[in-house]
Amino acid sequence: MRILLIEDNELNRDMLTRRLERKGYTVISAVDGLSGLEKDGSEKPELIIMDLSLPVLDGWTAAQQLKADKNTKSIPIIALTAHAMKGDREKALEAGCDEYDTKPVDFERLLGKINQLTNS
Amino acid sequence: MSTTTKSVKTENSSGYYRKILLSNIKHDLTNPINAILGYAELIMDYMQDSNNQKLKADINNIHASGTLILKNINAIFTQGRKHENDNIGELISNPQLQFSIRTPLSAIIGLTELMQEDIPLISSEYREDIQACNKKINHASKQLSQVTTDLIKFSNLSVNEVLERYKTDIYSKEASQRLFDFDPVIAIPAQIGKILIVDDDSSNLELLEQILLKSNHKLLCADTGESALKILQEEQSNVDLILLDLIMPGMNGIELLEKIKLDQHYQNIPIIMLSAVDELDTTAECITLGADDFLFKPINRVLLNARINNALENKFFRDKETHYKEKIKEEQEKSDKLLLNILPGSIAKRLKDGETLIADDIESATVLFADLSGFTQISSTLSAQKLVLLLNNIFSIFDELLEKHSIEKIKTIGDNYMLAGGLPEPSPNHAVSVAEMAMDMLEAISKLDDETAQPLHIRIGINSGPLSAGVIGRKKFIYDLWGDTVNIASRMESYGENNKIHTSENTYLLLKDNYQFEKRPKLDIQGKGIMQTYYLTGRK
Repeated sequence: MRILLIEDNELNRDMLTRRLERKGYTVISAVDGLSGLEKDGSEKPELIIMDLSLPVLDGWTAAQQLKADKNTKSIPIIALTAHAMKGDREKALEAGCDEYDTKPVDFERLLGKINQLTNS
Repeated sequence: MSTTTKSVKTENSSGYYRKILLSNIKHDLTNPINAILGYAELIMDYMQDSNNQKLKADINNIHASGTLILKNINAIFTQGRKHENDNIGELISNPQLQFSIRTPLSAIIGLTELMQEDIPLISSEYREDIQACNKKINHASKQLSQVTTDLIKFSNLSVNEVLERYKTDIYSKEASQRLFDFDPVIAIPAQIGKILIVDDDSSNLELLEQILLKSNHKLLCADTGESALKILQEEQSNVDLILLDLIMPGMNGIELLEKIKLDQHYQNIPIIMLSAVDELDTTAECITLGADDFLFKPINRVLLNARINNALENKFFRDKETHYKEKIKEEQEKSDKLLLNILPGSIAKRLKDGETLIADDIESATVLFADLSGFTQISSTLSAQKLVLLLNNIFSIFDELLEKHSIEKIKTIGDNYMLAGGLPEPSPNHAVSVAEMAMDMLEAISKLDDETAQPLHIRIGINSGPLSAGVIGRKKFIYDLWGDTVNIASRMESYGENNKIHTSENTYLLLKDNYQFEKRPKLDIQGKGIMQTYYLTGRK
């Protein structure tokens, strides 16, 4: 299964990619919102994991655009954030994200959400 | 959101509490990071000779991330300290703070979990040690995550409200467990001692324990000031060094430091403070209060070991020095006592001060010679041992009488006893003192004569006049007297009679007003010619 990981922090991107690959997923990674959308076009992933605080195009806007586009609106999006502000969760869900989690990532919990979103 | 509410306390005290609160919160954030960095460095140590580049890269990244978090925290708290009027709740629940901790922290946790899978596959002999440290990093990271999350709860509170909740420990600290035991690699340092570690944070304590056990130190741990004091009471001077965390709940580091330095039982134990780089002022204060050294967190293993080694070395030297000083004092006292047995106090002092030739002209002194006549006869009837015992007995009685009369004993020659009055310091009543001594000596012999089977007699001769006194020779020297006055005194003794005090004209002239004398017919003294002499018969 292909997962698109949009994360600008290099270490976190590398770490998550390795961990997901070890669990058998194929990971396509992007460093910002814009290239995330472009990547998305060529090889359609089954799931998108996206950090909300991204350069160029921020996560919320990217989420809205993905959900607006008929090609991508069915792809489930898990939003990750390191801000942990009140109202973050609601904002993410409003923008169209299907799931939401805070960093530091609890990997087991993340796997649970991936399973849930791709099996239903 | 609420503005900072002013409590009934003054504005100044609110600022004071704000400062304390910030320190405490920062302390709780940085403790787990110090553990992360500490264990990461241990792993880097273990992996020095390894070829596993991926693993090395991972642990380096963990360390770099930890350092970054620390930097971010420091920056935010420094800013928070500067802007004293900013709402503290906002500061510590600041999204920026959250972000700058959570992002690197996520990397750290993820990397340790990756490493957890990879480490069992490496070929290093330290595999288990590395795995253990890795687990500790993971544990500390999760602790930090929890603390960071808890801070969000403070967002709308005033300083006092935060203080209140902080005191009740709202952080849901996980129970700290030793996840496992392992045998650390032992590096032998130069100095080994018993170290008391005082730190409220259990992960810090554990990290320090692991670092120090490697160096073979014996460790005692306390997580509060009170328990530290208890341990000190039990161990006292067995503790060689104390590592003391500055920030602790309840009794803090400074208070504990003061208490320790006030108690004579442990005030000499060296203390190394563990503090943060922005607590420089408080750390300096600790040094003035008597702490010996300090280290900033995160603790650098190499520096820690170096400072401990230094402190222990100093302490052991000081202990040895004290011991030697005591020994020297003991020996000096012994030798002084011995010397005073041989020489008068003032003469002994002059010798010690470096005078090599002591020869004084004494204007007026009185010299006495006493001879135990008949001793030669006694010696033929008694065994040698019994004879010496008897002589010792008699001379001991005389020795005791010396003090009573402030007389200086000069020497004994066989059964002859020589003393003098009026030296080494002049004294106007020297003749009187010697006269009294002579009469006491007569009485003592008379008593002994009654008590023993042997007939005991004594012949005493006294003369007064000028003489020379001093110490000559380099070996086996004594304080001795020379001159005509001395020779005449000796003659007085040899020309005297049993149990009588034979004096010269000079002595008679000094004593005639207070003592009774019997004039003798003139004597022809060998080497001196005709002399008028007297017997001292009693007091007037």
